[in-house]
Amino acid sequence: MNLRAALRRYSELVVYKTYAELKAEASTYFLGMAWWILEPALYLLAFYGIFQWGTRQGEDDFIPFLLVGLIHWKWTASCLSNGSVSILHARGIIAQVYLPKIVFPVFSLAISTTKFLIILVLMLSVIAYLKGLSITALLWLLPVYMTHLLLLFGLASTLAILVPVIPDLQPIIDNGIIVLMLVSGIFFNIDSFPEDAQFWFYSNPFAVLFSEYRNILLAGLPPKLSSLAYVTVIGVFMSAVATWLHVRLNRRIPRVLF
Amino acid sequence: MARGDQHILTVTDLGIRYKDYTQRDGWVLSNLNFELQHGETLGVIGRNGAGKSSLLSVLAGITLPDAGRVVRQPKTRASLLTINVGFMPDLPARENIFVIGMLLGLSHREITNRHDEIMAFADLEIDPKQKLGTFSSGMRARLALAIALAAAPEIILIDEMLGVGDGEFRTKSSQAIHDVIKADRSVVLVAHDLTTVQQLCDRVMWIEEGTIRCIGETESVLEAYNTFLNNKLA
Repeated sequence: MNLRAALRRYSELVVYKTYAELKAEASTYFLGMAWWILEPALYLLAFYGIFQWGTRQGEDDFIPFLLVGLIHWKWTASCLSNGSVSILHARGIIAQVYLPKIVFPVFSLAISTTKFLIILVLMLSVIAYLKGLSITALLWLLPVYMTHLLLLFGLASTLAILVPVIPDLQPIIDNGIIVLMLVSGIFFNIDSFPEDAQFWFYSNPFAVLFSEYRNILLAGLPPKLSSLAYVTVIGVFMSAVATWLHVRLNRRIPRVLF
Repeated sequence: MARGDQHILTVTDLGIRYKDYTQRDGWVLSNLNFELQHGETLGVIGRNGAGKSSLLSVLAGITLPDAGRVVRQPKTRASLLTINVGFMPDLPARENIFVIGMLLGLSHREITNRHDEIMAFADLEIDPKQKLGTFSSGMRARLALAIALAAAPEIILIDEMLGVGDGEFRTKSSQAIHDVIKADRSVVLVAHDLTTVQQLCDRVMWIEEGTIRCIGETESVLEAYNTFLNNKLA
């Protein structure tokens, strides 16, 4: 199969499988697709309760601050968590038919991103109501989402290929995602820390992305090119690592799985 | 039947090893050399653990060999005839046909064109909205086989599956698989039932302890294999 035919076949498969998985998931619950909105809403409410009422650390703009951080974090965590085990969970298919293994994290990313897009529309509506939102700000978001997606693809694909080969990575990833949540500035403003601490926080590309989302949506500032360049470099590097691993392990993985 | 000496698949010095495999220095298969001719049905026989399923996995391109190579003619696909791929119990038959058909290599357009043919072969009397999870195992097997046959490539690899479903459909599915084998397709058939091998195969390859013990005309290979088994039992 040439490259063009392969891309066509697999992109068609990713689109249909994403549709089918989402339809199957929605049909599992009585409230169906409403859970895609309810789940992050409950998540937001729980964290808002802890920080605003529990520890009384919230500021005046805490709701939109938390909203932007948590919604983007949920998407990130879902892509990394589900993506990292996507090949492992597809062992039934992998034993029977040949598919390039990279399509499995892509399935996972496509499903998480579709659900995120629905909640994103709601989040933007809330921000527009609370703070106002310009068309320019929406356009500024696009390159940030592209770099975010590139980073998620690189990381999720690398982890997805490594997990079947090194199963001990799975609990490390689960705990790593929790640590990542705590150091990505979702619940606090990194800019309020001393400068040397900020440097370490902002070495985490997700902290950079969440800060950019807040700057655009809450402060009306354009994205910093240096921030986007930093995340893009890491995203390209991780995607290159994933591609290299895929070339080496694509047809070795079935032997590891069984 | 084989068409001339046109090789659709050539296997050269093929070897497969598993790290934790304790016998034969880890090699499950070694030094396998054979060709599959266009339109030929090659039977593969051997005792349990001989490496037959590992061979099919390599021929299907699911795994790579550790030694040697498998060369297919350009623009030919080889895949397992399988009924165990990716069913989604929370979706109706239509969506499952599309998902599984696409996993097996069909395009969305091909499935759209062949949807009615697949449903007709499966012969299911169902509500279009009925979820697959409510189907009996026999009904699921019918649907799976109908999709698998619709998606069958130029080189079909069959591992023991020569009839699925229940009652009347088992006869029908068995006949359908026999028709596929007898048609102008190239087939590698792994089977324990030697009568089936005798009826369906143009040539037979006997694998013993990871290497080819004998390959050639069906009758002579089966005779040698039977003699070997009888000696083992004696």
